[in-house]
Formats: sequence, C-alpha cells, structure tokens
Amino acid sequence: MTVPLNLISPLLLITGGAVLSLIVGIFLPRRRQGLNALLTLGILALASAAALHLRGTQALVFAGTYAVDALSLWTGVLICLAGALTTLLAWPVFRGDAREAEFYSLLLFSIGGALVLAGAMDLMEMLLGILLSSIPAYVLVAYRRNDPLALEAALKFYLFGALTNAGLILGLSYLYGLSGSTLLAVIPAHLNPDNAALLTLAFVLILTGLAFKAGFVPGHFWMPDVFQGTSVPVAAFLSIVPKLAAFAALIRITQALPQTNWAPVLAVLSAVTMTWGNLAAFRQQDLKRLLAYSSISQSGYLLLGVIAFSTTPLGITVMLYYFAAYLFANLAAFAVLSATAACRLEELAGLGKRRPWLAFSMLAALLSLMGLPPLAGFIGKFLLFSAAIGAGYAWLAILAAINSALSLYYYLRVLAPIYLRSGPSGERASPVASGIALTCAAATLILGIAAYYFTGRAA
Amino acid sequence: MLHWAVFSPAAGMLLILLVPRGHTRLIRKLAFLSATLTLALWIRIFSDFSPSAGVQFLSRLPWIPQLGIRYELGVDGLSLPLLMMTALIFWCAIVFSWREEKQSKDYFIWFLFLESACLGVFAALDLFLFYVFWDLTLVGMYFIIARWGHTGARAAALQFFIYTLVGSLAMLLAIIGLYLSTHPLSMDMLEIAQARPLRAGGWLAQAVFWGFFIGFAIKTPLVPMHTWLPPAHTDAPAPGSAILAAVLLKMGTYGFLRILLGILPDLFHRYAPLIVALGVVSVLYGALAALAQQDFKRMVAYSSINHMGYVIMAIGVLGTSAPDAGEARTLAFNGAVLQMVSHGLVTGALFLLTGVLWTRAARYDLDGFGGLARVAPQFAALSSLAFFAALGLPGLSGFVAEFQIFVGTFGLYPWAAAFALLGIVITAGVFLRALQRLFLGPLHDQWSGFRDLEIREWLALLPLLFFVILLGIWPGWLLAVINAAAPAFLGPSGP
Repeated sequence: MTVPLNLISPLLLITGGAVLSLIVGIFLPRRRQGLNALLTLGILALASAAALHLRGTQALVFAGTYAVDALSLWTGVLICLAGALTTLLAWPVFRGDAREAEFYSLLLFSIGGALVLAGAMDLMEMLLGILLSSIPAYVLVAYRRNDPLALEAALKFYLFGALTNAGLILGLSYLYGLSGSTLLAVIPAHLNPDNAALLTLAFVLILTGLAFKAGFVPGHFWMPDVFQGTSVPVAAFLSIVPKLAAFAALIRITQALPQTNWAPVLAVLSAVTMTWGNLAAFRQQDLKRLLAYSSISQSGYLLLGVIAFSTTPLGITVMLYYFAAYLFANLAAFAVLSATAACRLEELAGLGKRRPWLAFSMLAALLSLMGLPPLAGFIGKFLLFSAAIGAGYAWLAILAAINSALSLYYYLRVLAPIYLRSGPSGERASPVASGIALTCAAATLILGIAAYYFTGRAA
Repeated sequence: MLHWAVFSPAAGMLLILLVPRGHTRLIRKLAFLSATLTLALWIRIFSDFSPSAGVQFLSRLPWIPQLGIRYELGVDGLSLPLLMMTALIFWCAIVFSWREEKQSKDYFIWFLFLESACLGVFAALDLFLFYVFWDLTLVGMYFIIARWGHTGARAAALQFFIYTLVGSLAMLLAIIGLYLSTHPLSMDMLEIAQARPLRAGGWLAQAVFWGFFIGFAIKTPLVPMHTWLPPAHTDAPAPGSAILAAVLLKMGTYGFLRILLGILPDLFHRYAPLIVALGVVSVLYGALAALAQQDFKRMVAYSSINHMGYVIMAIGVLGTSAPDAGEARTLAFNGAVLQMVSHGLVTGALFLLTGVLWTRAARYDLDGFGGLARVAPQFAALSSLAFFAALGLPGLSGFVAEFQIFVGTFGLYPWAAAFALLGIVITAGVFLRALQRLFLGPLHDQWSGFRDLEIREWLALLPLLFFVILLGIWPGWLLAVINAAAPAFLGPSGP
C-alpha cells in the first residue's frame, strides 16, 4: 500500500525539522545557537504553508489511522502559528543560554506530537500523539533546571501526566476490548448497545487523559502550578498547543461513540470546568496562575462546542473560530507578561501610562477572553452559545453566560491596576514581545470585525 | 450619511489617538469639532427625515452572511429623537469637560468612543449589531467612571459593569434564542418584527421574553434591579453621570419598545399589567428614596429612577388590547418617547449642575450649603429652571411628557395613574426642598467666594435648558416625528 506522502507533508516537515534542528544544534557553536530559532520559524512556516496548500482535502491515510481534513489541517495551522509565536517569545528569553538550541527542537517535537493527536483516527495513534507531545513538554517546563520552582513544576506535570495517561491507556484498552478495533472509523459499527455502561466507563477513562492535555476538570490541576513555575513562553505554549490538539482528538472520539454515552458526561464536565476555573481565578495574585485558571475556564466553553459539534452544521467552524480567538487573545496576554516581566498583579500598575500600546494589548486580550464585542472572543462565544442552545443545552449556555459575567471580575482585576493606578516607571520592555502582544491584540480585533471572512473560510 | 453620523465621534477618537500626550488644547479642540460635526450631521438627518415614511436612511452591508448577520443601520420616529438627544448631550458633556486636565487625551478618547457606541445602539437595526454596540457602551462607561470618578468610583464602576453585563448576557441568550427560531436565520429586527417567529408562545418564547426583560430592566433600571445605579451615578464624574443617566438608561426603555413591544408583542400584552405595576413601583420608590437623600447627586440619581418609572408605566399601557384603547395608547407612546427625551435633557442638565458644585466645593451634601443664590445667582437661576423641569412644571418639557403619560394611563389603569400621581407630588417636594437647602437661607461663610458659572458651563447648560423650554411650549415639531412611528408599534399589536 502506498502512502501519499504529500498528504502528511506538514507532519513530515515538523518531525523531520525537529530532528534536523537537534542535529544543527549539536554542531552550532555556542554563541550561534540562536540560529536554531530561525530554523524553527522556517520549519513552522513551511509546515503551515503545506497544511494551507492541502486545504479542502478529505482523506484517511496510513491504513485509516490518520485523518487529513479541515479539522486536522486548520488545527495544524493554528498550532504551527502558536509554535512560531512561542519561538519568537522564547528567543529573547533564552538567548545566550548554554542549551538554547535544544529548546527549539523540543518545541518542534512537542508540536509534532500535537499534530499527530489532532489527526489521530486510531486509538494507538492518539496515545502516540499524546506521549510525543507530552514528553518534550515535561522537559520544556524544566528547561531552567537550576530553578527549583521549574523543577517542582516539571515533576508535578510529569507525575500528573503519567497518572492521567495511565487512565487513558486503560480507557483505550477497554474501548478496544468492547469493539475489537483501534480504528475510530471501524469502532462505531462494532459497539454492542448492551455494553453502554462499560462504554461510558471507557470514555470517562479516555477523558482523563484528554482532560490533562486540554486542561479541563478533572485533568486541570497541573496548570496553575506549572504555569507559575515555568517561563512565560513555555506557559503560553502549554496553554494553547496541547489544548487545541486535545480538543480535536476529543471531537474525533466523540464522533465515533453514541451521543448518549458521552454528551451528559461532557455537559457536566463543561459546567464544572468553567465554574471552577472562574471561581478559582478570583483570588489569584500571580498573573500566570490567573491566566492558567482563565485557560481552564476557556476549556469549559470549548466543551460546549464539542457537545454541539454534530448537531450544528457549523460545528467545525465554531470550534476552529474559537481556537483562533483563544489563541490570539491568550498569546497577547502572555506576550504582555513576557514584555513587562511582570509576575504579580500589582507589577502591572501604571502600565497604561507607561506603555499605552502594551496596556491596550492586554485590554483587548482579556476583554476578548471575557467575550466582549466586537473582539474575536465575543463572536466565538456567540457561536458556541448558539450551538449549545441549538443542541438543546440551553441550561449550559445560561451557565456559560453567567460564568462570562463572573470572569469579568478577575479580568478587571488585571486591567484595573494597569489603567487606574500609577506605578514605578522604567522597566525595559522587550520589543519582540511587545510586537507580538500588539499583533495578537490586533488579530483579535480583526478576527472579530472581519468574522465574515474567517467563518467563511474554515468550513 | 448614517454611517458618518454614527462613526464621526469614532473618527475623532482615532485622530486624537495620533496626537501626542500633552497637547491638551489640540486634543480638546479635536474632540469638540468631532462632537459638533456629529451634532450637525444629526440635525441634517432630522431635517431630511420625513415622518410619514417609516424607517429611513437604511443602510445594509453583509457582515457574517453565513449566519444572517448584517451591519444594518436605520432611523425611525422612535430612534431619531433619542439620537438627536444623544448627540446633543455628548456635545454638552464635552464642552463641560473643557477644563479636564487629568489625562485629557484618554478622557476625550473614551467619551468619543462612548458616543459612537451609544449612537450605534439606537441606530442599529440588526440584533447582533445592537448587542455589539450595547456592550461597547459598558466598556466606555466603565473606564469613564473608574478613571475619572470620585473616591469609591472603582468599586462603583466594577459593580456597574458586572451588574449590567449580567443583564446584557441575559439579553444575548435571548437574542440567540430568538435568532434560532427564525427561518431562514435572521438578525434583522424589521424582518423578525414582521415574521414574529415566536408568535405561538411556548417555553422558548417565554425564555426569550424574560431574557430581554432582565437585560432591559437592569438598564432602565426598574426596581428592584436598580441597585447599581446610585453608586455609579454618584461616583462618576459629572459629565459621565450626565451621559449615564441621559443616554444609557434610555437604552433600556428603547429596548422595551423596539424589541419587547416590537418583536414579542404577544407576550408583551400578557405581561403588560406587570410592567405597569413595576413602573409604578419605580415611580414611588425612586421618589421616596430621593426624598431621603442628604447627598445632592444621589438625590438626582434616585429621581432618575422615578422619572424612568413613568416611561415604563406608559410602555406597559401600550400592551393593553382593549378595543377602544387606541387613542390612549397613542398618547402613552408619544408621552413615553417624549419623556425619554425630556428626562435626558433635564437630568443631563441636573448632573452637569452637580458638576458645577463639585468643581467649586468638592462635596455634594445638601446640609453643607445654603444661600448660594446670593453669591452665584446665575447658577441658582439655571438650577431652579432645571429643578422645575424635573418636578414637571407646566411650560417645561417634563410636564408635556408626563401629562400625556398620565392621560394615556388614566383611561386604562386608573389605579396606576393615581399611585404615580403621588410620585409627582413627592418629587415636587424633593426638588423644592433641595432648592431651598442649596440656594436659600443663610450663606455659610466658607462659600462667600463661591464662583458663579463660567462661560463653558453656560455653553454646556444653555442648549439643554433651551430645548427643555422649547419642548415645553412647542412640542409639536418633535411629537410629529414620534407620532408617525406609533402605528408601527401599536398597529400590528392590536387585538
């Protein structure tokens, strides 16, 4: 059987590039290691160009284990974009570091794993994707190995990942046992309706693994600690790339199982996740922890889209649009943290006066995460709420709306010191990070106002 | 034309963004010019408007066509008076803020931002666009209160933002529910009002109705959903309070008319008595609470609840379906819209007057003043005029509006009219007492140097009071416009 290699060219480019950057890193002299960042950017650009070139394709490759379709391709483009922006954020932070080059090749490996996960149509492939994206991520978290906080974060991340992945493997094996196949395309035909309870159990176990990657209850516990302990670029990366890939995988798994087995579970998890994330964010003083909880609550909203995925004709548009809206808003917020090197809320005091454009980026980012028009987050939430109400989950949409109102409180807790207080002047702001912050903030605005163009494109 | 009239403040805002900080004179000139241009454009639209032709100046552009969402603006006899009033109040607020030195660049940016958003709310004919503008007004108002307000402004602003955001999210869910019931999917208010997709009732219709109801009732605000209002008004800077009371509150009653009455008339009819009752409660509660205030600005804030209560009462009357109610309902409609305009002008002036007090004394407590008429006769004269307009003295705009409301209500809900009349009596007491405590009696020594009105304050107050008098003696020119819109809202909803 021949595999049409061009269909998996993004994946090949990323994995090949990761290996290449590892080798290049070995041979680069120490002070030139930063060149690897350039190489990484080039590889990511090529991979997204390849994915864009393939758009419109609808195919299953590798004996039905990997899907090349709108979901995997567009998620892939967004993941590459997030990876490229992370690279740009990381470059000034790790410049001159002894093992600088490794950082980028680990990043590429993790991205490769995420791409595998986003297109996996086979249980083993899914597991492979999760592991391939997780293991380099553990290392990335502990990249500053002399920092005890980073080590602690990596250990928590690793242990928690190992635990949830054990659940995942158990769930996958149950599902295999119930259906006799690992192929998601084959599984639905071999499921016995009498085993509904076991099937739900298998799904719940699989969910623990995906919840770990996507950051929703009950797999979310690592996020605040890891974000706090690691560097800002890695936190930004972890808040976006694994989440997007895991949600793509969740969509594929749910589409293969009967709705009655998973919809109630996901509805409850969605409700708990958004509420938990929002309430826990209320009293955070650490900006990265606050963004971690905000990211958890965003997963709760995204679960709405998974639940309503098959009942609305725009399901895929809704998900991809929300992915993009979340990506830009979240990256803008993290880029502001990176630019100002602020860790705690009060360190942003007076930013509105010192750096109006950075302050504006934070404003746009957080209001978009909150869902205020005309920013992308609003259109995203509008699409999600419509999909949920259309699917008969009005109560969940109401809860999501209440949660949006609640989230305003802690987003304003970040914005209030920026605009309402004065602070010491004279911090240095990294120009690269500032540029990324402003670009991403502009993207949330453009994505919102020109939604016509983007929603038409995705499906 | 309509685009320009809605977005010319935003254009001014973008220009100001380009001006470096510190060029205060240039910045305020730009703000003034763009507010003046906006006002001029709306006057032009008003003169080109023909009352008999329904919705005019329609402009439609596709926005998200896959979802049936359009960028659609238009004006009719309901929105045009409110738009004129909005443009005027913003002009006055910007003139009044001429001396604002604290971060004046950001100040005028946010004011112009808010002006475009407010104009957009009244001019939008697409539910989605309406919601976008609606939420933008929250953002603008939040920053104006929080950054330029008095002590305690941040807490008040936060409360305002979250409280009203809950309302607007309820409204968003209602919009989605309404939208999902249309075939083909549409957000067009006029199309939906024609098609009335939820005519048959059912739980979805109920949910949509109450979602909108909560959103608008919080905004209006209707007792018992009014608790955000007193702190927000009291702690906002005076021009901000003027905008909040004059323009933002009208968005609630506008929504009652445009959406609840216009799009969901069947349920509106069913709950009309409840709406009348809530209006009466607001009238009485607002009046009594105003009577109990020692703080001048809080008193004005509570009087707004009272005045908006009359509007809600009149709006409730519109839902009556008695066969011979036609004339009374038309009167109530005209009265409601006119009262919205009149309250905007009067309360805008009142809040600007509290600003006059604040710039000179930095306090609002009624007990701390007295005899100011002796040192500041112009201030006293303009204040008295505004006070008399607020208590509904014949010859001023409030009287014309309230008279129509009461005549319209009396035939259909005599009990409501009787109770609400009590509100008028109490309000009269409120304002007369305030007049007495501020301006009459012995002068405290500390106020012997109280400066009288400056030119910018005259300029800001004069147009408002001019229209208060003009509408009081000759309301016909505006009523002709309002009256022409009445059939569109009252016609199809009849029995």
